[in-house]
Amino acid sequence: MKKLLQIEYLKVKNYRTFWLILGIYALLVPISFFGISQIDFPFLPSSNEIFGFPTVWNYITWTASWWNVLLGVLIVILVCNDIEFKTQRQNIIDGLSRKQVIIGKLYFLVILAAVITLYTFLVALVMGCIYSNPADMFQEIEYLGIYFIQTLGYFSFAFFFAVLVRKPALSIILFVVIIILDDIIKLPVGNDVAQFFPTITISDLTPFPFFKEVIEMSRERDPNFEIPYDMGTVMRSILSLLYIAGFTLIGFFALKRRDL
Amino acid sequence: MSTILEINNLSKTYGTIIALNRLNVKVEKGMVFGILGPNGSGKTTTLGILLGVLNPTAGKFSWFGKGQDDSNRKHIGSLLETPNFYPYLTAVQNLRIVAKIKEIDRIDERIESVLKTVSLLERKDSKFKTYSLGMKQRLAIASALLSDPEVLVLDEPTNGLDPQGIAEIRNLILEIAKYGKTILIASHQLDEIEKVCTDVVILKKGVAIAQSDVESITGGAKQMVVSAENLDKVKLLIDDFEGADVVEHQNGSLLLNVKENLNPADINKFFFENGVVLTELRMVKRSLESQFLEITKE
Repeated sequence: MKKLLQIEYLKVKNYRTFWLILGIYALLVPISFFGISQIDFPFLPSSNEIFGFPTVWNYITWTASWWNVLLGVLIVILVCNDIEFKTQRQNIIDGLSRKQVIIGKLYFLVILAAVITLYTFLVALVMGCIYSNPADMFQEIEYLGIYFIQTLGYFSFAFFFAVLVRKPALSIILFVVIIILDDIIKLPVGNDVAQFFPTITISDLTPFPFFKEVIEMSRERDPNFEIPYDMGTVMRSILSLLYIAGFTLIGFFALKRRDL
Repeated sequence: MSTILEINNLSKTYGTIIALNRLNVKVEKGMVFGILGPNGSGKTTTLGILLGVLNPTAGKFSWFGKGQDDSNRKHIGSLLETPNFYPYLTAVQNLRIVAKIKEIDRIDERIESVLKTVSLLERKDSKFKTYSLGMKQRLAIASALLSDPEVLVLDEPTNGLDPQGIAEIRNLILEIAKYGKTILIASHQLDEIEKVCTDVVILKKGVAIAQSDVESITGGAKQMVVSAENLDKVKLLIDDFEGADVVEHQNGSLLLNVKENLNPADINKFFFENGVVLTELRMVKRSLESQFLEITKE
């Protein structure tokens, strides 16, 4: 495992695009997080609510998840590079098994997802400690676990996608289009069904923070307002993990059987 | 002699196209083994299967008597088709990845040494994408040599090199072969095979149509060119002469296949005694090329 990770690290260590995209993510997360506190929402969550424990975990993961797609694009690039440059083929010729090549990439994705989650955690931790009592920090911290699953979800989808499409430019465009289409498709299909679509399930893991407030407001206006069906966080996490397993396995077997 | 590679009934089909049909090959230690054939004859397909990137449709192969185990490839240095490296990494950074895969000790020392061998040391910190075609090819050869492997597998190793580069690579291959290493070369360039190989298999449309040591293919038949004032008489005389046949009539001279035990003096004497004075008489080394063209003729 150590050897496979070292090989993957050598591939990105001097790859400027990789560090650039990570850098952009690292900047965008705190900037956009700060940004939402400046928006004049009708519910007016105070800075203390946005930046303070325990609500900070929901807000930070919701904000950061916009940029998670950016990291998904990075994974598409990394996986496609190895196909496009035929270096994956060369890795095998040089002595790795097909399985090792794929597993190495997957290890790398898991580690990267963990690093991303850790970074996001640190940003929220700093804010939380400034705006609220650090003693409350462990409340609702499960959002971080959920964020890890979400990141892994985007990564595994990106991996699956890159393996199937193979061409970097086309993969990136289609990947982004699918993520954008998700929000559009909810309208005709309805959220009752749409929430089970793989990419929507994964994206819904970090819910809109004022979701409850929106529902309550609707009910105040109209007592007959039907509360939309929502599968709930636990169910959603489990379903996401199943999708992740699915994406990974399909990608794995496609790569394993293919002539390179 | 120990067997380095054994191929049994190896086949590969793409849909209805048969790229390789029941190939059987045995490569012994120390051989410089050529796989010769025109484009599309199955050379690269064969090497691709042997190096684990193509899945064979049928048949088996075994490296070092250890079967098709993935780790065998760590002891094989390969150059398959185009050089494959990360364009955004330098030569050294690219070779580090290879070294890691092959689990090489003293990585930096080995990298220096192979880059020196292929004369790329001065450009070792340049990115791969800035390299010329010849430099890319040389880096690929450096990469193949990196683990100081028992076996080298080279697919068209002089592709894209200038004449000087071609000569350098050929000398390098001969140099490496001297140390008792086994080398497998696929090529459509006949003189390449002729100059460096000890053994050869000739492929045509996925089928092995000849397999032997290079010496017996090229040296098997002696040829001579003769000409004289009266060629028709020469022709008639040759019909009676035991040990020589006309192969072709070209520009006022005749190309003859001659038995191994005859030398030019015998031929000259024979014609002179029969009243013909030859105006030209010379030996021709029958090249692999003519042999190859003859064998692969429809």
